[in-house]
Amino acid sequence: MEVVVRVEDVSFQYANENIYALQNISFQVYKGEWVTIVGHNGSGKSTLAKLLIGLLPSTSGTIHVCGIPLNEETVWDVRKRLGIVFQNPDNQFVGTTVQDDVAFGLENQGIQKDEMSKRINEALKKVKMEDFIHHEPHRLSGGQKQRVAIASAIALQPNVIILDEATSMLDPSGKKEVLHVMESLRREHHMTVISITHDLNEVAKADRVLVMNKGRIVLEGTPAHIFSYGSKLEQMGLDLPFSLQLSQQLKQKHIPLTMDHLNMEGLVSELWTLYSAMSNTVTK
Amino acid sequence: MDIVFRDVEHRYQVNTPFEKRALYDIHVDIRSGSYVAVIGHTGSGKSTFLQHLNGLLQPTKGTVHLGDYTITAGKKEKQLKPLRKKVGIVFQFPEHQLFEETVEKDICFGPMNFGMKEEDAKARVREWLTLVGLSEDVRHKSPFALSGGQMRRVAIAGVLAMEPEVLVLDEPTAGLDPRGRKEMMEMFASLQQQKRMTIVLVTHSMEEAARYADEIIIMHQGTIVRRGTPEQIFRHVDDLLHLGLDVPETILFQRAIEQKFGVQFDAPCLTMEDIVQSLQMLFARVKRT
Repeated sequence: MEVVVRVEDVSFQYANENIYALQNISFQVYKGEWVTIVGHNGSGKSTLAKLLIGLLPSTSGTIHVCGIPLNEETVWDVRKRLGIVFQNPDNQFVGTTVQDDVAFGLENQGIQKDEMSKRINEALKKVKMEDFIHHEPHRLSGGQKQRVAIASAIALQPNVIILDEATSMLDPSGKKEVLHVMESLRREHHMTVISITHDLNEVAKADRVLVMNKGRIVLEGTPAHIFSYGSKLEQMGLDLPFSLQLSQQLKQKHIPLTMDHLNMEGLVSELWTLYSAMSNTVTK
Repeated sequence: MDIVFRDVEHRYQVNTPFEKRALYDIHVDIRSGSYVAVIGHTGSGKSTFLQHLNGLLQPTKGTVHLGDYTITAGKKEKQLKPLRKKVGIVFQFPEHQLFEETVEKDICFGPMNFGMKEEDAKARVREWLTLVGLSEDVRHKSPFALSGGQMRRVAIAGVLAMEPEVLVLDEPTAGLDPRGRKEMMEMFASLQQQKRMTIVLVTHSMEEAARYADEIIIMHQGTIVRRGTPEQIFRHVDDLLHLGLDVPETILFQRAIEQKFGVQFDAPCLTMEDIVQSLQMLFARVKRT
């Protein structure tokens, strides 16, 4: 499989701080993969995002994006390959209409006018915002704003999209809108995604999860594998899915579940099996 | 401080083509010392409502009683400053309002504005930091050098420093990680108990409302459509779903169990403990028979 992002032994220390914000981070992201990075506030995940797009220089170690080593000379080249959507929907608009806003990045890269309007239309269609092309960005809802921000990023045809807590300031319906759009981008356009989040629904959608704590990657695996660590995740300040927590509590109360369920249907159905088995033995 | 709204309406930009009725038919009683959650979609009028709680907005019709203060539509109210000391509002993402060079100065800004002497305010900074779970270490740091969660705590400390009787919280946990959310909600609950503060919480999180509030107010398109205790509100799940609101996972799970097992639990399960208990009873019954 083609490696899109390769991070090798990267450490980072903020000026005037004694401790390292990132320590010996190594991982790879493959083409078409959806990787989620989780960790509590202050675990180093946002610092990592800033390093990936060259907003901060790593103290040691190397980062390659599409085979290009990231350094002062290549940073602009690397940024063409990475699109990033930040947390705050209100902080990333420059244009007076949705169209102008998506055009901004394209203009900076000197894209021809015809090509530009084609890309704007395509990008807005992909995030289902084509009906808002002449709207003012500040009048959109939070979820719509973030979808426009995603459109601005994908119009530049990056190889990877980074979502840095892009849904955390949205209301529940806004969160759903954005996740829905990201899913369709992955399904239909095989976009490579690195999402940084605490949202469990977002974690569950990933191919692979990296858990960060105190500047290190401490766990790595599929969502099911990661959630199986249970209380260890809670100690790191992370949440567990509802069904999993409930499975564990029921087991403690001697309800003999065979596994920790990741979804409600599974748990309800095993409880029903247990319950019917018990009532059968009683009737016999 | 009791809060009473009578027939309150608010229109933005009255007598212009942009006139918009954002709030209407609002009748509310919030008892001193209670914990009320206000729930509704973006655009339901929640923010307009909460800005009436300290006179930032005044009704265009009706009356708002805030303790000894009465704000009536059409009457100019001059002395609102003391009221604003009694009702502290923590807006969404309050960390965006930090501005001072040090955490200490930022926290002292509010109380000094209301006439507290600088040395008196400084003497109490440690107490206020402790209230929000921050250590003395951050005192002389720039608030902008702190993490997002710490910045939010500093901003909240700045509001608590004015020692309000009513604390209004607009989405105080948005954007925090799970541990941060829980710690913050526990902190507000203990403030309510220890300092007998009234808390008005605006939230999207049904879980938070179910767990912490004595009473829930549901707003929809500018008015109040439901109010009651969490038990009363979550007895009518279909109503909530119909309004397009989320329902706590505990309630969804309870419904799934009730349908599959063909049983009916006595009361809505608002916490995971409730569910565990109900299920234990269900299983115990089958063992006995």
